[in-house]
Amino acid sequence: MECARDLLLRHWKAGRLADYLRSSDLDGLDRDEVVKQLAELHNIQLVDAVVAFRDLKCVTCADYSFFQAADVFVDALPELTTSIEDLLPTIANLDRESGNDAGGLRLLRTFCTLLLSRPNWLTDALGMIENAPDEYHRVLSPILVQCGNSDEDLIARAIHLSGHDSIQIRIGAVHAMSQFDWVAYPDLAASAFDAVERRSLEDTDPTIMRVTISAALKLSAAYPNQEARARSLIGKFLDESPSDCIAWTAQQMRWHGASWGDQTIAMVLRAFRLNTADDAGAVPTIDAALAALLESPRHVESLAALADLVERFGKMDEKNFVSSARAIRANPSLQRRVATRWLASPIPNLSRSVRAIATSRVRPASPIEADPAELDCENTSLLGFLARKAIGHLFDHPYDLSAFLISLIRVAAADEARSLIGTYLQEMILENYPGDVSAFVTELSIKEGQEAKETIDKALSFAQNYHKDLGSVSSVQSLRPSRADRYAYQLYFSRILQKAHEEGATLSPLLSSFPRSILLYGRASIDHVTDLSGASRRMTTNLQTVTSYVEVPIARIVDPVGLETMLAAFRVERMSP
Amino acid sequence: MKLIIRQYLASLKERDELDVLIPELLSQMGLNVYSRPGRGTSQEGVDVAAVGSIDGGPEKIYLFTIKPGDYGRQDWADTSPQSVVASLRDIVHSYLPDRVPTEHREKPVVICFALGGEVKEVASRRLNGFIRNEVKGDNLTAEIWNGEKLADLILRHFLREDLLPADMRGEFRKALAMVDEPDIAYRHFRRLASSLVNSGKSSPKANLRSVRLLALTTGVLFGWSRDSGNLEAAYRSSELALLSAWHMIREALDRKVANAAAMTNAFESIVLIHLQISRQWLDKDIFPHAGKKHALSIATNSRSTVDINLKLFDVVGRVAMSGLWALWQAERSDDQQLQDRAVAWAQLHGRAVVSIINENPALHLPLKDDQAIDIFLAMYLEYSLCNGPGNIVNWASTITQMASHALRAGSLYPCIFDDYDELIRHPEDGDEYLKRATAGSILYPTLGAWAAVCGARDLLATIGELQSSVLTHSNFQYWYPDDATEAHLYLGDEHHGAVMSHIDCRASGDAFLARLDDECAASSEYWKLSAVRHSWWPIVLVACRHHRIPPPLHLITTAEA
Repeated sequence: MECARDLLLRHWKAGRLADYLRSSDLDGLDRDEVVKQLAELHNIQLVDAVVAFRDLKCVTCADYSFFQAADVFVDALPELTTSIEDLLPTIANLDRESGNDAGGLRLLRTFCTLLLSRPNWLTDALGMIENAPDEYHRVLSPILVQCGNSDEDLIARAIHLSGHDSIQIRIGAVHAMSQFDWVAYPDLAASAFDAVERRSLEDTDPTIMRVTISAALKLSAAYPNQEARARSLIGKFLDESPSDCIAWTAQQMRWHGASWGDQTIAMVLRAFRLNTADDAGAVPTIDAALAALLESPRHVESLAALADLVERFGKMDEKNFVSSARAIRANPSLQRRVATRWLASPIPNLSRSVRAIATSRVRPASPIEADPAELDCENTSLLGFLARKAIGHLFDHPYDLSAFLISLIRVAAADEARSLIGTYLQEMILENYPGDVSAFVTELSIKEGQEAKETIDKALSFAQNYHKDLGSVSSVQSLRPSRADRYAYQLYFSRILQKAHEEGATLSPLLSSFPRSILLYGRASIDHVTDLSGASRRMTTNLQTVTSYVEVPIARIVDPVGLETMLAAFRVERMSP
Repeated sequence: MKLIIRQYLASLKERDELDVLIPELLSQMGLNVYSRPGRGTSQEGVDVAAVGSIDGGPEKIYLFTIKPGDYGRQDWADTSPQSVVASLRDIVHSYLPDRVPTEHREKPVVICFALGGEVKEVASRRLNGFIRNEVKGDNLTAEIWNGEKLADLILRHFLREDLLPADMRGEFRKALAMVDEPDIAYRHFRRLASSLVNSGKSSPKANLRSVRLLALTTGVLFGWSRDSGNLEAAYRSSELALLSAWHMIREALDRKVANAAAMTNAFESIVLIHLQISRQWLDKDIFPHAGKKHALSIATNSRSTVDINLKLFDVVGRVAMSGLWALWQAERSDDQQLQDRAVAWAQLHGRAVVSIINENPALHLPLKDDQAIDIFLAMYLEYSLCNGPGNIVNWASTITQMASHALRAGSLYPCIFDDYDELIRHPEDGDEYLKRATAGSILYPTLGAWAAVCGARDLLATIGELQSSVLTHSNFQYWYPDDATEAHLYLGDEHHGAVMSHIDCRASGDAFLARLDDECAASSEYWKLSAVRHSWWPIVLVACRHHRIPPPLHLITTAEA
């Protein structure tokens, strides 16, 4: 059998070394041995690995064979004896072909480690990049960032390069400036600010604008006394190109917003809220930015901006403002505040959005409650109004609705308010959801104070009587649908379920990513798989039963139109002044 | 078949069941029944009296005392005036000396103890001893007609092969076997009824025999349904039997033929069975749940909103119909006590209708346009009870508001579909579908008519607004009887009547009502309907309910006049 060394050599001679390394033939070999032999053969000049990879192409973004071959090169790289002049074109090619894949990052990290260990290579590499920016501009920023954070000269070089004739070099340099840890280099920060301001004045290219904003924000985060300069720079871009600027600023806020100054945040949020471009396409990015801020202790400002945006661009649901909804759900106190404030709001988009911050239809860890700080607890009309609003919007989220109504009962100052909301709890929740939801209410009741508990227990008692009455009505034979009708309905219902199941499967990332195998019998799946060493292994996977249980409210069956009419009336109700 | 009949006989009660069957049987055997069961009047022990010859023997007087079920030791020990022994004594000592019609005084007398079951051994010895000692005299004998004998007679005189051919027997047996699946049982009974109607066409005698067979088969079906705990098949079949029987006797009543009285008796026995079925069904299945929230909805034992809706409107129509029968009984009776009882019974139905509607919100919006028929009946009962327009207007307003909301929201609005498959898929999306589903309507004109009759102008305006907004495409219409109606109303075998199209509900109440009135005046065929002429107006309503035809507006316009 031919060894790795012979194989590499043979394919090199045939002019197909790179092709061989990306082929599946490599699967049967010890990969570490291949890397070792490649470096050795290169170093004794029997093959030229650097040249072999100079033209390696990535056919598609998911070209596994390209990354397999490139990985071999990256692993061999520290051992290769070569010159920077030979190496840089290969690095640039592999980086370009990798696109934004993590494989490219690994390549550059390895390369920069190499540069740091060979200072003259770093200088030469920067010189090569400056002289041929079209070829090498992509690697400039990574080299400056990875090597520059510990090298004051390199940071100064980056500032200097930000004024280079080539726009690609300028972009790379300013981008690197947006990544430096400026706190460690106060002396250079002022020059850097000057440089980015110069860019903002001299360049109109959108990419320059983006990296300039990033650099300015990074600098102002390190030197808050300079925040005004960053704001002024962003303000200028907002005037010139609002949509692009907002989208980019939102992206920056998502990752770095927590470190920004108050005034900068206020300015950016104001820009979001007043976005005259009405560009709904930017909403997902802004949503992600707001979500990041909502997760931080500085959520107050972002909440107001979010409300403005929801009002303008439509309700929060399973497609819109998803990140913000997730952030709100993750913070019970914020969830309480938002639910209470938005349900009371006369703006339809806000009250409708409360459904999106409800956890789910299953029993939640932290269900929505009312926030007493947002309420006048002595105002019976307001509490009743809020209860009805919550019913209108959260009827299909019975756990959240139960918890919300109970929290209203808890904070209500007047008996009248408690009694009113208790009736709602009984008629809308306990009568409609006699199973787990009622058990949930019973559990909550135990934790409540005396007055609230009495109200809830009364509701529970009335509901129990209602269900007892229903339970006493056995199926009346003469009222049963005919056999033909029963069969027709079962057929219809099973088709609906099947359709829902199929639609659900298409939405599931898991089910749509992997091929499915249908098992007709048994309770476990037996498979024989081949591991990396080529050995076959027997694997047994026990099957799991996945069931879901959803209570269908009685009113949906006995009075669907009446229920919808009532819920619609509750949803559109407005608080009388 | 004999087993079926015996089982049926054993299940009959005396009052209104066995004592209705026996006269019919005797008539069918060729005897002249000169005395039938009456209430409140002294009969001196005789429940039924007939005269005639059995199997070619001499003419005799047959005096029957009737008892349901078996006769055992406890019955013998019964010393009440209603006991069999007391009745037999009354016949011997009171009836025979004074009550035998003069023209029959010379004829031999047979005192018959008729019972649905059998006389148990212990009681048999004592009873025979009693008869030997007490029933003595010239030309006087005694006989026991137990279930076995009655079943034999029924088989010989009703269910003979030449009277009830094998195919009809097959339908009858299938109807009985499927009482748990009322749709199927009804389908077989319908074929049987149709065959009987056809076979009755050959002669007045055959006609009478068919009516009696209908009565008998309806009664047997009732017994079996009662035993199975599901009266649905019996209810629907008895309605059909009632209508078929009326169709068969109506001409005889007009022509006053010789056997008109016998026909009326046979027909009335079917009415009696139907009302009994209706009452038992209401008492057992409906009234106990009428006042409980959602109870009747849940009692359908279905997850389908469609099933609940269809059943509950049907229930309301039946309750109303039963109440209207009670009012009719009050109207026909000369006895003030009976009148009061019947009116109270009708009021109970009225209250039940209101409770059922209030406690079952499915009744706040019909799914099918023709549920307007049941709505009409319920409103007509309320109207006839003179309870004021409040409940009628409230219900009509609720239906209108809900329909308006459902039409605008595209949810379960009333549609003209009848097929169950279409109903469970209703509503689909799209304007074209909505136009197809609401292409015509009797519901809104019905509500409009009641709004106008009750003087609810706002409600009529709301209906008008609905017509001019979301239902501009819909042909608002109402049905009026025509000259073909009398021939087909009761059997529902052909299209009949005419429809007034494009009724404008946007007119003022007076103008709207005037237009409907005018059409009632023009469609005078209603007054010529045999059931109306013979003061059996509930039959028209039963036919409308059963065959899904809008009830004639003459009922309310006349009442208004």
